Amino acid sequence: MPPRAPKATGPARCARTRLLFAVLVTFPSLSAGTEDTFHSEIRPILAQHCLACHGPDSQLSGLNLSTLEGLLSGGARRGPAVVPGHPEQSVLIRVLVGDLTPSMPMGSARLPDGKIRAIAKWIEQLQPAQEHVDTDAWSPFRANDHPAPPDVEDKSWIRNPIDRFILARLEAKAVGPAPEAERRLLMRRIYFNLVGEPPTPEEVDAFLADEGEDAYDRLVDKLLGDPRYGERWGRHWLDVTRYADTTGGEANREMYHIWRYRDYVIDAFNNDKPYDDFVKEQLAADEFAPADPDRRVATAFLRLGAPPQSQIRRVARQQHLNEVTGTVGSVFLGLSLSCAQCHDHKYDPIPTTDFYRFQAFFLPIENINVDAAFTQVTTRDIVARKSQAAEQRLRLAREAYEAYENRLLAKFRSVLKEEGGDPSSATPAALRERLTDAVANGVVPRDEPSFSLAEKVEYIRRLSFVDGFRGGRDMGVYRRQVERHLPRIHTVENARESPYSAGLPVQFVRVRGEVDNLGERVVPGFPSAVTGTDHPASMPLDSLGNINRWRLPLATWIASPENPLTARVMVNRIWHWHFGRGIVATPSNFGANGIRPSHPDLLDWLAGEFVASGWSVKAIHRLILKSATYRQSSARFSEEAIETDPANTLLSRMPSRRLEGEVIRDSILAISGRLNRERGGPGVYPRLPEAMKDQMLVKNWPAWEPSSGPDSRKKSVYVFQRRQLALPLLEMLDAPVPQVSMEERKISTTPIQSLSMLNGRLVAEEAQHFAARLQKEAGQDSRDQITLAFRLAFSRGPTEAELRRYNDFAESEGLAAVGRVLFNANEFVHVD
Amino acid sequence: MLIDFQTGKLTSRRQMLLQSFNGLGSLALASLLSEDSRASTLPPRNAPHHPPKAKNCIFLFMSGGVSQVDTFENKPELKRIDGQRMPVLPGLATQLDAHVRSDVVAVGSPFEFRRFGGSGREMSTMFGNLGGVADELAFVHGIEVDSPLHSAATLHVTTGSVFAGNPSVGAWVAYGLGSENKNLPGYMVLHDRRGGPVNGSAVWQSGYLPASYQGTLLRSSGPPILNLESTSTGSAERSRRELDLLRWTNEQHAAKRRSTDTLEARIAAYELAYRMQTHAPGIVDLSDEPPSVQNLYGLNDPVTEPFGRQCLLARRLVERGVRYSLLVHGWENGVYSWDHHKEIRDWLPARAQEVDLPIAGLIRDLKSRGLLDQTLVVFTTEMSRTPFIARKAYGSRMGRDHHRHSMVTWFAGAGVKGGSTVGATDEFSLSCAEEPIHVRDIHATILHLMGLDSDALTYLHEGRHKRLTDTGGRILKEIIA
Repeated sequence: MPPRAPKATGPARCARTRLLFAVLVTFPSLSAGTEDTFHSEIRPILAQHCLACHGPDSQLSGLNLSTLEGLLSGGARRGPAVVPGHPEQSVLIRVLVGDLTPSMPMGSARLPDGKIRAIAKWIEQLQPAQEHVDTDAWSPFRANDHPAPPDVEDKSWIRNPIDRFILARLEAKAVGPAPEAERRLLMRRIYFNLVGEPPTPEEVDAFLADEGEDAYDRLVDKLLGDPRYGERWGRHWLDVTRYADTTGGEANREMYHIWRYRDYVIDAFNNDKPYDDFVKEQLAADEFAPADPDRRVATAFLRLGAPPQSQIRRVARQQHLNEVTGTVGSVFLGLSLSCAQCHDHKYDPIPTTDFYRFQAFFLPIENINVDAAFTQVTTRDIVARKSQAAEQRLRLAREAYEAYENRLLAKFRSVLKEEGGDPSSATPAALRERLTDAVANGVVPRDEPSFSLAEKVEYIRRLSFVDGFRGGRDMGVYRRQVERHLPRIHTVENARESPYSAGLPVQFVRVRGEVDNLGERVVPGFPSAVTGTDHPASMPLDSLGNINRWRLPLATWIASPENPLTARVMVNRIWHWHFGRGIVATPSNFGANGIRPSHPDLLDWLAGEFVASGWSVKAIHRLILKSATYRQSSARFSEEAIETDPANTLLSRMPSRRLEGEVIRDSILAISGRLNRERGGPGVYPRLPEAMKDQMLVKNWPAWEPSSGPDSRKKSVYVFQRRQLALPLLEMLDAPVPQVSMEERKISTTPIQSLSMLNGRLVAEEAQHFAARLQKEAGQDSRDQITLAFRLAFSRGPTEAELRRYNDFAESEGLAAVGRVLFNANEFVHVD
Repeated sequence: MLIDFQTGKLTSRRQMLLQSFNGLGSLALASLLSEDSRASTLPPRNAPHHPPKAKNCIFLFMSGGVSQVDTFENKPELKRIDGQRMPVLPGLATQLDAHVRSDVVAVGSPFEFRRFGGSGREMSTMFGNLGGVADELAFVHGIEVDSPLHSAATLHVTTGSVFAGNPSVGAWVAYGLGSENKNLPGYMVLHDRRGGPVNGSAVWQSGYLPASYQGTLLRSSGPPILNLESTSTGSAERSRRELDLLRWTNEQHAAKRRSTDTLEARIAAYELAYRMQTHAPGIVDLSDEPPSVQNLYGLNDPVTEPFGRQCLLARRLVERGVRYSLLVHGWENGVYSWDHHKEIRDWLPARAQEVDLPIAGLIRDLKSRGLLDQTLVVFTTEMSRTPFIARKAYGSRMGRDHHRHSMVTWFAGAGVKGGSTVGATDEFSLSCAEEPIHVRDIHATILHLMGLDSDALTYLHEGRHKRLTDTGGRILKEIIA
């Protein structure tokens, strides 16, 4: 970007940017007639030759030729596929005639000339209609005008207002919704969706036997009150807030007490903490509740970013502020503020000054750890038990270390004697100096011939458990285990100036994002795209006239019913986590470059309900879960639904999805009967494959000291989140340790993933325990065992054919093999 | 062809599948199983943008920061002023200028240089074997890295950004081109037996691309891929029976459902996993390599054996159609990497000796098999090292500190003009003397040679079209044949 010319400031600029936005969101419509021709003549040609790769189902290069919009917006590589009025300039024609390579259709013969001519003629006749400013266009920045649910024809389908919004769109396209899902499947759906585990066979029986009108609604309410709900939905929020237990980067240090933020999030969901409070606490609890550990812990959110990558202090500082600014913008406001860090946002009305005005709220922020008592009894118990054990381990390891060190010291003395040195200088400190080199986050063996590499490695291994000399940087495994149970939290505070000093932080625009390239001076303020003005925010002052609360004004503004973005963004996230796709399909980007809402009125209506309910997340769950929309079948739907709504953006059916890695792991443990349901506490360390040792640094390998016994089988949300090292099974199932905010989980399918499910330790071990459980609970009849296996895994009994095959299989291969097959089955890892 | 290895997505006959699932399961699998591993005729997810020069890339990453003035960049002037105050050059970046003006002295290279090959390429004699193939190499000097910190610089060179969370170069290539071999992932990683590099898996991660594009670790001993061996079933026949029951169960399940894409993909993935169990162990079984070839890579010498094995495996991966192999030499930072803040006179030659013969052997072997014409070999590190040191540290046991201005990289193989050079540094290797070359230029050049256009290779992430090279990236035409 070239340096920007000085620009207008004040209301004039805001008016311009708002106008620009209105134009951008308005799609150029085409003159009448051409659209008919497209559907009658052109689309059939494209359907025959192009849509397999560039159609509704597969959009290679991002190109979708099945709609007019798709043709005009084009693909990622070559831009618009057609230039109205100019077939010779249109990429579509040029690749068809071979003027641009690779020519299309890829790998097939050229289309008959007649067909190419027909397309060219149609493009020639296309005339873009006059662009116009559509003041009615939905904009995320516009105040919510609380649309009323529309009228629909088929009122019998409606369970609550959500269904009106959905059905109105479907009726407009003459598609009916899918019928309600089979009750058993519906039950599994809400179990996986709300508590992340399958129902037990007893729960299935009870539900299927419950013929009450409101049986389903009662189940929804029950599960929303289940503490596993917070673990399931807390994990979603931890994705968004980039939660990890270590900093990442080169040192990748453990944040010893950060797990208390994870528990805070889980509790917040379980207690249905009003979302406005939830927002305010994460942004500014240190400013309004500094002495309340249960709220102040929320500010750890501001410390979860990956570390700055510069050794120059002011650059690192700026990087840290940029990370926080960008994350706060995308998490709470769905704005890609970071795009405006170096230049005015290219798509949204966010000038660079607004990025730095927004950043100014964070200027004095400093990281600090403070003492904070454990207020929950369960946490206190876990911590007391574990810290005692850790202290015991440390003591034993220290004794073992000292014994080994004494052996090496004896050798050291004789080495010194041979070298003609003074044997009495063989001190522990000198030994360490002799054998090891200190590097950024630990020690490595030194190139030194008088001791063997094996001796040095063993020395370092023992050292890694007890070492305290690096003073808090890398304290040794058992020392860390003691440390992480101390009653402290990671939080922030504002750097304090002396009351008589005028040296409070001052913010400048950083031209082109360059730290030392100072532009205009700015003061804290909200994005002008939202407020319509670039007036400074009103900051609370102390008696001396200095700002005494920096982030609270921002937090209050974000968590305000008047903020048009906050409620929309959160209800959309909730929708996304229920349906696998948000009403805005880019949950962290509501801007022009994000995807437009599929049901803007529904989004606004839900946002209104959210605020009216007192920002109750559970109120939104209830609305969604009790709607007919959510209860649709994913398996039974009409041909028209596929034809008219191929990508299911209209929700003409429920999408079927593969479960997240954590849910798969937890479900395996749940049905093997070995899931440890203990809640909260420091992260746990399921055993890693020994083969991973050689890909790790020896010096950090002991840092993953596997938890033994039930600790290794807690729910996945409690697995220690070490950046750069994830449990292979979870990583393969698209559940990485976040480095940056993650708006959604990908779903990928690879043979490597199949291998870790087929041959990995978890499945192998739990299949054994599953088999033992079957024998214990179903008795010796193998048909009963198979039946119970199916009921546990699939919430149904086997069919006659299944019973036969599995019975034969169990006879020759054993019951554990049955478990392995069921754990790997699509029916187990997918939810209908 | 029914499945794209990388995406697990069905890429053809999809409509047919949707409409008649019942007949499909067994049909699809039968055709899948009988399919020759290289017989794919459909383009992968994203075909090349232009005809590629290189089908494969072997990326040799020397972790820790190779000292350019001791290896590939002879600076006689620096030797001349060894131990003296560093002269101040005009036009240095502010930070560097301040550093040079502080109390530092010049450190000339203690190593000998000589000219190699017809091109007269100057290199340190510690790379004598590599010198034998000097005419195959094209050097890039004076590369700017965005940070002089290991973590940031390593991420910059391997993922295009100093910040974590971005896809690695290999992930972009896998995304852009897919795998040629349906039995193996398109992107494999072989790292130092002593341990991984700084940042661990972030160096080969897929960032915001789907997990299917991340590098798969190939181990040089034991089962080559994690969980490749079944510890539970005990025999291939039993594994097969287990898989048959799983397939039957999944087909029953899919028959009752309408949207079967991901269900089908999972069925196919298990079959591929089964075949991988058969195919993958062969990659690391070097018993079919004659001793002459093994010796070419130095497998007969304990010093060169570890990296030699990595290089030989890389050639075998090329033969099997793996697009991108990342070879890491060096363990974190410190003595066993290229990060020598002290003792550089001993430690640098020790590290060089570990890779010199194996890399030369790799290039010779690829060439003699006619594979060098289709394989791009890139040798790089994450940063350079200072041509000076603090006066108080000057002495026989000294090393060199981090430097981000004059990194050296070389290319060899497909599409590369052997013996050529682009970029230069000033007489002390403080900074680039010509038009600055940036890490993104290296990435743009790699993608270009592999048939990909760095501007067009985009992925929509949170509403933004993201690129490996972000904005810009110059193709280094000077070194392209």
